[in-house]
Amino acid sequence: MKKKRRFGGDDELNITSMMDMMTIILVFLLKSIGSSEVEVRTSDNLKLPYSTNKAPPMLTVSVVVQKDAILVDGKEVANVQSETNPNVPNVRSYFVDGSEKTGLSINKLFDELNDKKEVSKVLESKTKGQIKFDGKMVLQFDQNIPYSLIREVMFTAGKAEFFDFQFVLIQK
Amino acid sequence: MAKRRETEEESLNLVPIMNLVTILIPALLIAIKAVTLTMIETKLPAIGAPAPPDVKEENQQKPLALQIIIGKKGITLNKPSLEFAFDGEVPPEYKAENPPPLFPCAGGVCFNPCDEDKKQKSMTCYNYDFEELTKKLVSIKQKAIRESRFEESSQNVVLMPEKEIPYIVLIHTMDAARGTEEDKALFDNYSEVYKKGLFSMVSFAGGLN
Repeated sequence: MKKKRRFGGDDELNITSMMDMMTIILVFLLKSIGSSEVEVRTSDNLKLPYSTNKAPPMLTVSVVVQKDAILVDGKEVANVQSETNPNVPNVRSYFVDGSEKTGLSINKLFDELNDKKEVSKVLESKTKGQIKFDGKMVLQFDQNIPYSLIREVMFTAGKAEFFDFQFVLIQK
Repeated sequence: MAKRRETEEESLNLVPIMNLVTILIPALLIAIKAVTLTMIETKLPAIGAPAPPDVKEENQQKPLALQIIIGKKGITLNKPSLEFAFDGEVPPEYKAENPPPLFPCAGGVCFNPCDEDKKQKSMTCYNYDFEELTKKLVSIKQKAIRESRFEESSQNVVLMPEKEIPYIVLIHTMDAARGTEEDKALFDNYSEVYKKGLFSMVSFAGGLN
Protein backbone atom coordinates (compact mmCIF):
# COMPACT_ATOMS: atom_id res chain seq x y z
CA MET A 1 0.00 0.00 0.00
CA LYS A 2 2.80 2.32 1.00
CA LYS A 3 4.75 1.51 -2.17
CA LYS A 4 1.71 2.13 -4.38
CA ARG A 5 1.09 5.52 -2.83
CA ARG A 6 4.67 6.60 -3.52
CA PHE A 7 4.81 5.50 -7.15
CA GLY A 8 1.19 5.12 -8.16
CA GLY A 9 -1.52 7.54 -9.36
CA ASP A 10 -2.38 8.97 -5.96
CA ASP A 11 0.63 11.34 -5.97
CA GLU A 12 -0.02 14.75 -7.50
CA LEU A 13 2.50 17.22 -8.81
CA ASN A 14 3.17 19.95 -6.29
CA ILE A 15 2.73 23.11 -8.31
CA THR A 16 2.72 25.58 -5.42
CA SER A 17 6.37 26.57 -5.91
CA MET A 18 5.77 26.93 -9.64
CA MET A 19 2.78 29.15 -8.89
CA ASP A 20 5.00 31.33 -6.70
CA MET A 21 7.48 31.71 -9.53
CA MET A 22 4.75 32.46 -12.07
CA THR A 23 3.22 35.10 -9.80
CA ILE A 24 6.58 36.85 -9.47
CA ILE A 25 7.14 36.74 -13.25
CA LEU A 26 3.60 38.05 -13.85
CA VAL A 27 4.10 41.02 -11.53
CA PHE A 28 7.48 41.78 -13.15
CA LEU A 29 6.01 41.67 -16.65
CA LEU A 30 3.04 43.85 -15.72
CA LYS A 31 5.47 46.43 -14.33
CA SER A 32 7.66 46.29 -17.45
CA ILE A 33 4.84 46.84 -19.91
CA GLY A 34 5.20 50.11 -21.73
CA SER A 35 2.60 52.82 -21.91
CA SER A 36 4.19 55.08 -24.54
CA GLU A 37 1.61 57.08 -26.50
CA VAL A 38 3.73 57.23 -29.62
CA GLU A 39 3.80 54.25 -31.91
CA VAL A 40 7.03 53.42 -33.67
CA ARG A 41 7.27 50.81 -36.37
CA THR A 42 10.93 50.41 -37.16
CA SER A 43 11.83 48.67 -40.38
CA ASP A 44 14.71 48.56 -42.84
CA ASN A 45 13.55 51.97 -44.02
CA LEU A 46 13.15 53.52 -40.58
CA LYS A 47 15.90 53.12 -37.99
CA LEU A 48 15.80 55.70 -35.25
CA PRO A 49 19.08 56.86 -33.74
CA TYR A 50 19.91 56.49 -30.05
CA SER A 51 19.94 59.48 -27.73
CA THR A 52 20.95 60.09 -24.13
CA ASN A 53 17.84 62.20 -23.57
CA LYS A 54 15.21 60.91 -21.11
CA ALA A 55 11.97 62.85 -21.83
CA PRO A 56 9.09 60.65 -23.10
CA PRO A 57 7.37 61.58 -26.40
CA MET A 58 3.75 62.79 -26.43
CA LEU A 59 0.91 61.96 -28.78
CA THR A 60 0.22 64.45 -31.56
CA VAL A 61 0.40 64.61 -35.38
CA SER A 62 3.11 62.20 -36.45
CA VAL A 63 5.33 62.57 -39.50
CA VAL A 64 7.62 59.67 -40.36
CA VAL A 65 10.41 60.10 -42.90
CA GLN A 66 11.63 56.72 -44.06
CA LYS A 67 14.26 55.97 -46.67
CA ASP A 68 11.51 55.40 -49.27
CA ALA A 69 8.52 57.50 -48.21
CA ILE A 70 7.08 60.25 -46.03
CA LEU A 71 4.07 59.28 -43.92
CA VAL A 72 1.62 61.44 -41.99
CA ASP A 73 -0.17 59.47 -39.25
CA GLY A 74 0.61 56.27 -41.15
CA LYS A 75 -0.60 57.53 -44.54
CA GLU A 76 1.99 57.77 -47.31
CA VAL A 77 2.08 61.26 -48.81
CA ALA A 78 5.37 61.47 -50.75
CA ASN A 79 8.07 59.27 -52.19
CA VAL A 80 11.67 59.57 -51.10
CA GLN A 81 14.37 58.78 -53.64
CA SER A 82 18.01 58.02 -53.06
CA GLU A 83 21.30 58.12 -54.89
CA THR A 84 24.98 58.03 -54.09
CA ASN A 85 26.34 61.41 -53.21
CA PRO A 86 29.33 62.40 -55.38
CA ASN A 87 30.29 65.19 -52.95
CA VAL A 88 30.44 63.03 -49.83
CA PRO A 89 31.81 59.51 -50.14
CA ASN A 90 30.13 56.82 -48.03
CA VAL A 91 26.95 58.87 -47.55
CA ARG A 92 23.81 58.30 -49.61
CA SER A 93 21.61 61.21 -50.52
CA TYR A 94 17.83 61.01 -49.82
CA PHE A 95 15.52 63.55 -51.39
CA VAL A 96 12.00 64.29 -52.62
CA ASP A 97 11.84 64.82 -56.37
CA GLY A 98 11.83 68.46 -57.46
CA SER A 99 8.50 68.02 -59.30
CA GLU A 100 6.80 67.31 -55.94
CA LYS A 101 8.12 70.47 -54.32
CA THR A 102 7.58 74.21 -54.47
CA GLY A 103 10.82 75.70 -53.24
CA LEU A 104 11.53 74.00 -49.92
CA SER A 105 7.89 72.97 -49.43
CA ILE A 106 6.82 69.38 -50.19
CA ASN A 107 3.40 69.83 -51.82
CA LYS A 108 1.51 66.71 -50.74
CA LEU A 109 2.96 66.84 -47.23
CA PHE A 110 1.76 70.43 -46.94
CA ASP A 111 -1.76 69.50 -48.15
CA GLU A 112 -2.03 66.67 -45.64
CA LEU A 113 -0.73 68.75 -42.73
CA ASN A 114 -2.99 71.63 -43.70
CA ASP A 115 -5.98 69.25 -43.58
CA LYS A 116 -4.88 68.07 -40.12
CA LYS A 117 -4.63 71.66 -38.95
CA GLU A 118 -8.09 72.52 -40.33
CA VAL A 119 -9.63 69.49 -38.58
CA SER A 120 -7.92 70.50 -35.32
CA LYS A 121 -9.19 74.07 -35.64
CA VAL A 122 -12.76 72.90 -36.29
CA LEU A 123 -12.49 70.67 -33.23
CA GLU A 124 -11.13 73.59 -31.24
CA SER A 125 -14.11 75.79 -32.13
CA LYS A 126 -16.67 73.02 -31.55
CA THR A 127 -15.25 72.06 -28.16
CA LYS A 128 -14.90 75.74 -27.20
CA GLY A 129 -11.15 75.46 -26.77
CA GLN A 130 -11.10 72.21 -24.81
CA ILE A 131 -9.16 70.56 -27.62
CA LYS A 132 -6.58 73.07 -28.74
CA PHE A 133 -4.47 73.21 -31.86
CA ASP A 134 -1.01 73.74 -30.40
CA GLY A 135 1.11 73.33 -33.54
CA LYS A 136 2.99 70.37 -32.05
CA MET A 137 4.31 67.57 -34.18
CA VAL A 138 6.16 64.31 -33.59
CA LEU A 139 8.91 63.67 -36.11
CA GLN A 140 10.57 60.34 -36.81
CA PHE A 141 13.48 60.35 -39.22
CA ASP A 142 15.56 57.43 -40.34
CA GLN A 143 19.10 57.90 -39.05
CA ASN A 144 20.50 58.29 -42.60
CA ILE A 145 18.16 61.09 -43.74
CA PRO A 146 20.28 64.16 -44.58
CA TYR A 147 19.69 67.60 -43.13
CA SER A 148 18.50 68.93 -46.50
CA LEU A 149 15.39 66.70 -46.35
CA ILE A 150 14.89 67.34 -42.63
CA ARG A 151 14.92 71.07 -43.34
CA GLU A 152 12.34 70.68 -46.13
CA VAL A 153 10.01 68.65 -43.88
CA MET A 154 10.34 71.19 -41.07
CA PHE A 155 9.84 74.09 -43.48
CA THR A 156 6.68 72.46 -44.89
CA ALA A 157 5.40 71.82 -41.37
CA GLY A 158 6.05 75.45 -40.46
CA LYS A 159 4.11 76.60 -43.50
CA ALA A 160 1.16 74.54 -42.22
CA GLU A 161 1.53 76.28 -38.81
CA PHE A 162 3.27 73.45 -36.96
CA PHE A 163 6.12 75.08 -35.07
CA ASP A 164 6.94 72.78 -32.14
CA PHE A 165 8.79 69.60 -33.05
CA GLN A 166 9.56 66.51 -31.04
CA PHE A 167 12.18 64.22 -32.50
CA VAL A 168 11.42 60.64 -31.46
CA LEU A 169 14.52 58.61 -30.63
CA ILE A 170 15.53 55.45 -28.86
CA GLN A 171 16.78 55.98 -25.34
CA LYS A 172 20.36 54.89 -24.81
CA MET B 1 -8.09 7.04 6.86
CA ALA B 2 -11.34 8.97 6.57
CA LYS B 3 -9.61 12.00 8.00
CA ARG B 4 -6.86 11.77 5.34
CA ARG B 5 -9.43 11.59 2.50
CA GLU B 6 -11.19 14.66 3.84
CA THR B 7 -7.93 16.65 3.92
CA GLU B 8 -7.03 15.69 0.35
CA GLU B 9 -10.41 16.79 -0.99
CA GLU B 10 -10.04 20.22 0.59
CA SER B 11 -6.78 21.07 -1.23
CA LEU B 12 -7.13 23.93 -3.72
CA ASN B 13 -7.08 23.00 -7.40
CA LEU B 14 -4.49 25.38 -8.87
CA VAL B 15 -4.51 23.94 -12.38
CA PRO B 16 -7.00 26.50 -13.90
CA ILE B 17 -4.99 29.36 -12.40
CA MET B 18 -1.82 27.83 -13.80
CA ASN B 19 -3.46 27.67 -17.22
CA LEU B 20 -4.42 31.32 -17.02
CA VAL B 21 -0.96 32.42 -15.89
CA THR B 22 0.69 30.34 -18.62
CA ILE B 23 -1.42 32.17 -21.22
CA LEU B 24 -0.84 35.57 -19.63
CA ILE B 25 2.95 35.31 -19.53
CA PRO B 26 3.52 34.91 -23.30
CA ALA B 27 0.92 37.64 -23.95
CA LEU B 28 2.77 40.02 -21.64
CA LEU B 29 6.14 39.04 -23.08
CA ILE B 30 4.86 40.10 -26.52
CA ALA B 31 3.49 43.37 -25.17
CA ILE B 32 6.67 44.23 -23.26
CA LYS B 33 8.63 47.21 -24.52
CA ALA B 34 11.90 46.20 -26.09
CA VAL B 35 13.02 49.81 -26.37
CA THR B 36 12.29 52.99 -24.47
CA LEU B 37 11.50 55.98 -26.60
CA THR B 38 12.59 59.48 -25.87
CA MET B 39 12.25 62.83 -27.60
CA ILE B 40 14.12 66.04 -28.18
CA GLU B 41 12.04 69.19 -28.47
CA THR B 42 12.96 71.96 -30.84
CA LYS B 43 11.34 74.93 -32.52
CA LEU B 44 11.07 75.71 -36.20
CA PRO B 45 14.49 76.57 -37.59
CA ALA B 46 15.26 79.93 -39.08
CA ILE B 47 15.33 79.19 -42.79
CA GLY B 48 18.02 80.81 -44.86
CA ALA B 49 21.67 81.54 -44.28
CA PRO B 50 22.30 83.10 -40.89
CA ALA B 51 23.11 86.79 -40.84
CA PRO B 52 26.87 87.37 -40.68
CA PRO B 53 27.95 88.90 -37.38
CA ASP B 54 28.47 92.63 -37.45
CA VAL B 55 32.16 93.10 -36.76
CA LYS B 56 31.63 96.60 -35.39
CA GLU B 57 29.13 95.33 -32.85
CA GLU B 58 31.41 92.53 -31.67
CA ASN B 59 32.71 93.57 -28.33
CA GLN B 60 33.77 91.86 -25.17
CA GLN B 61 30.47 92.49 -23.40
CA LYS B 62 28.23 90.55 -25.79
CA PRO B 63 26.60 87.50 -24.19
CA LEU B 64 27.48 84.04 -25.40
CA ALA B 65 25.40 83.00 -28.46
CA LEU B 66 26.74 79.62 -29.42
CA GLN B 67 26.40 78.17 -32.90
CA ILE B 68 27.77 74.76 -33.78
CA ILE B 69 28.68 74.32 -37.42
CA ILE B 70 28.69 70.68 -38.57
CA GLY B 71 30.66 70.26 -41.76
CA LYS B 72 31.95 67.46 -43.92
CA LYS B 73 35.44 67.81 -42.39
CA GLY B 74 34.54 68.32 -38.78
CA ILE B 75 32.76 70.52 -36.26
CA THR B 76 33.50 74.13 -35.49
CA LEU B 77 31.92 77.09 -33.69
CA ASN B 78 30.79 80.51 -34.88
CA LYS B 79 33.48 83.18 -34.76
CA PRO B 80 32.19 85.12 -31.69
CA SER B 81 32.10 81.87 -29.70
CA LEU B 82 35.69 81.06 -30.66
CA GLU B 83 36.82 83.79 -28.25
CA PHE B 84 35.51 81.60 -25.45
CA ALA B 85 37.09 78.49 -26.90
CA PHE B 86 40.64 79.83 -26.74
CA ASP B 87 42.37 81.22 -23.70
CA GLY B 88 43.58 84.57 -24.93
CA GLU B 89 43.87 85.49 -28.59
CA VAL B 90 42.08 83.43 -31.29
CA PRO B 91 44.76 81.98 -33.65
CA PRO B 92 44.83 83.79 -37.04
CA GLU B 93 43.83 80.70 -39.06
CA TYR B 94 40.48 80.64 -37.24
CA LYS B 95 39.88 84.30 -38.17
CA ALA B 96 40.26 83.52 -41.89
CA GLU B 97 37.37 83.37 -44.37
CA ASN B 98 37.26 79.55 -44.36
CA PRO B 99 38.66 78.52 -40.98
CA PRO B 100 39.63 74.89 -40.32
CA PRO B 101 37.25 72.92 -38.09
CA LEU B 102 37.91 73.27 -34.39
CA PHE B 103 37.17 69.56 -33.97
CA PRO B 104 38.40 67.95 -37.21
CA CYS B 105 37.51 64.38 -38.06
CA ALA B 106 40.40 61.93 -37.77
CA GLY B 107 42.41 62.03 -40.99
CA GLY B 108 40.06 64.68 -42.40
CA VAL B 109 37.54 61.96 -43.25
CA CYS B 110 34.24 62.16 -41.39
CA PHE B 111 32.34 59.34 -43.06
CA ASN B 112 33.62 55.78 -43.13
CA PRO B 113 32.30 53.05 -45.43
CA CYS B 114 29.31 51.74 -43.51
CA ASP B 115 26.52 49.28 -44.09
CA GLU B 116 23.30 51.31 -44.01
CA ASP B 117 21.22 48.19 -43.52
CA LYS B 118 22.84 47.42 -40.21
CA LYS B 119 20.27 47.27 -37.44
CA GLN B 120 21.65 50.34 -35.71
CA LYS B 121 24.46 52.46 -36.99
CA SER B 122 27.25 52.80 -34.52
CA MET B 123 29.41 55.86 -34.30
CA THR B 124 32.21 53.90 -35.98
CA CYS B 125 30.49 54.98 -39.21
CA TYR B 126 31.51 58.56 -38.39
CA ASN B 127 34.67 60.18 -37.08
CA TYR B 128 33.21 63.25 -35.40
CA ASP B 129 34.81 63.99 -32.05
CA PHE B 130 31.78 64.52 -29.82
CA GLU B 131 33.70 63.95 -26.56
CA GLU B 132 36.07 66.81 -27.29
CA LEU B 133 33.12 68.98 -28.32
CA THR B 134 31.39 68.40 -24.96
CA LYS B 135 34.63 69.11 -23.05
CA LYS B 136 35.11 72.37 -24.94
CA LEU B 137 31.48 73.40 -24.41
CA VAL B 138 31.91 72.88 -20.64
CA SER B 139 34.96 75.16 -20.62
CA ILE B 140 33.18 77.73 -22.84
CA LYS B 141 30.19 77.86 -20.49
CA GLN B 142 32.43 78.15 -17.42
CA LYS B 143 34.37 81.00 -19.02
CA ALA B 144 31.18 82.80 -20.09
CA ILE B 145 29.80 82.55 -16.54
CA ARG B 146 33.09 83.83 -15.05
CA GLU B 147 33.01 86.82 -17.39
CA SER B 148 29.28 87.45 -16.69
CA ARG B 149 28.47 86.88 -20.35
CA PHE B 150 26.12 83.95 -19.86
CA GLU B 151 22.46 84.98 -19.97
CA GLU B 152 19.30 82.87 -20.10
CA SER B 153 19.35 83.09 -23.91
CA SER B 154 22.87 81.64 -23.86
CA GLN B 155 21.31 78.25 -23.01
CA ASN B 156 20.18 78.08 -26.63
CA VAL B 157 22.54 76.50 -29.10
CA VAL B 158 21.93 76.79 -32.83
CA LEU B 159 23.07 73.92 -35.02
CA MET B 160 24.21 74.83 -38.52
CA PRO B 161 24.69 71.56 -40.41
CA GLU B 162 25.71 71.26 -44.01
CA LYS B 163 22.90 69.82 -46.10
CA GLU B 164 24.50 66.36 -46.54
CA ILE B 165 24.94 65.70 -42.81
CA PRO B 166 22.83 62.68 -41.73
CA TYR B 167 20.26 62.87 -38.95
CA ILE B 168 22.24 60.59 -36.63
CA VAL B 169 25.14 63.07 -36.57
CA LEU B 170 22.72 65.91 -35.74
CA ILE B 171 21.26 63.93 -32.84
CA HIS B 172 24.69 63.06 -31.44
CA THR B 173 25.71 66.73 -31.70
CA MET B 174 22.54 67.68 -29.80
CA ASP B 175 23.40 65.10 -27.13
CA ALA B 176 26.94 66.45 -26.93
CA ALA B 177 25.60 70.01 -26.52
CA ARG B 178 23.30 68.98 -23.69
CA GLY B 179 26.12 67.09 -21.98
CA THR B 180 25.98 64.17 -19.58
CA GLU B 181 24.68 64.16 -16.01
CA GLU B 182 28.30 64.63 -14.85
CA ASP B 183 28.64 67.73 -17.03
CA LYS B 184 25.41 69.12 -15.58
CA ALA B 185 26.67 68.43 -12.06
CA LEU B 186 29.63 70.77 -12.70
CA PHE B 187 27.16 73.66 -12.60
CA ASP B 188 25.30 72.57 -9.43
CA ASN B 189 26.87 75.33 -7.36
CA TYR B 190 25.74 78.04 -9.75
CA SER B 191 22.36 79.79 -9.82
CA GLU B 192 19.24 78.32 -11.49
CA VAL B 193 19.97 79.93 -14.88
CA TYR B 194 23.09 77.80 -15.30
CA LYS B 195 21.74 74.52 -13.91
CA LYS B 196 19.36 73.52 -16.70
CA GLY B 197 21.99 71.41 -18.39
CA LEU B 198 25.10 72.23 -20.31
CA PHE B 199 23.15 73.91 -23.13
CA SER B 200 19.52 72.90 -22.63
CA MET B 201 17.83 74.13 -25.81
CA VAL B 202 19.13 73.13 -29.23
CA SER B 203 17.57 74.35 -32.47
CA PHE B 204 18.48 74.39 -36.14
CA ALA B 205 19.48 77.26 -38.36
CA GLY B 206 19.12 77.17 -42.11
CA GLY B 207 21.61 74.69 -43.49
CA LEU B 208 24.74 75.81 -45.24
CA ASN B 209 25.06 74.95 -48.89
